[in-house]
Amino acid sequence: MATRVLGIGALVAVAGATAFALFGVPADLNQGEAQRIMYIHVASAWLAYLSFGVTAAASVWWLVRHHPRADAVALAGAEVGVLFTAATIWAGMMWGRPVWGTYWQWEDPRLTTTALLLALYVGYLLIRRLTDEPARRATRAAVVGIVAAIDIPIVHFSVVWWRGLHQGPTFMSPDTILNPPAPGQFVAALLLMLGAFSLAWLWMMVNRYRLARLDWEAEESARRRRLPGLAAAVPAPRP
Amino acid sequence: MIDPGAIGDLAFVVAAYAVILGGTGLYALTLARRLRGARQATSTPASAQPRPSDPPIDHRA
Repeated sequence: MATRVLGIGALVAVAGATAFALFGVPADLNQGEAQRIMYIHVASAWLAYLSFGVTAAASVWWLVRHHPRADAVALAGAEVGVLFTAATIWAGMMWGRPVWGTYWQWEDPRLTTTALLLALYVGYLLIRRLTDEPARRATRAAVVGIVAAIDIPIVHFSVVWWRGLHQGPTFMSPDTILNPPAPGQFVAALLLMLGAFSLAWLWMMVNRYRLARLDWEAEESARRRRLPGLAAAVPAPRP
Repeated sequence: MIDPGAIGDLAFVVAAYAVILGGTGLYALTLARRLRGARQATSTPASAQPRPSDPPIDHRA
């Protein structure tokens, strides 16, 4: 019931935030209408970071405790993170075309490391399909989930460490909420979108976690049911 | 570098949003459907499900 309320709330919030970003906020003086893409781009990027951070933390949890819940959380984070990373890249490309004059540039460190981040976590999801044995799969995936997380700070600080087309970090500038400083309406639209997407993210995480738990239980139950058959197939040891 | 042409207008931005929101919505719908299916499969008693060790059913009979 609570998840259903969360889902409806997320739907309403995303619809409201989108309407405000598209029609409530004035267009930017320099970037024109294209600047509106920033709201969904930045919100998606932060939730992608958060998702992969959750995957890394849950992967450590799995390696320490070997609890099925840890693997389910890690899987949920990776899958939802891939969705938000793809959204981030798409929004960035759509913004880049009118503002930079190009959809993509491989020489840009932020773009390239973000593409690598997407590839790493798609790889994480593919690695999970290599074995049907849940514990072995979780251990392999946990190692990949931790190693892939190294790319998260590289993506974030790539605009500080190297020169490229992409501007500096939008958040986390010490003296402003947004960098460069933006009018209050722009900040409100961004925070509203971030809040709405966070609700949607939470709904997806909870439901993907539940699905992963059910899948794990079904696999374990199928393995248990298979065991008598396997035992019967193996010849009895000679006396 | 700003392209003043049609590519920078509001319709282009709305299309960019539509792809993201449509994709996210599609994922959410698929997730809800898969979860419902998994719950139904779990609620079905194990005795009613075919065991992997059971012989295959001959539908021609």
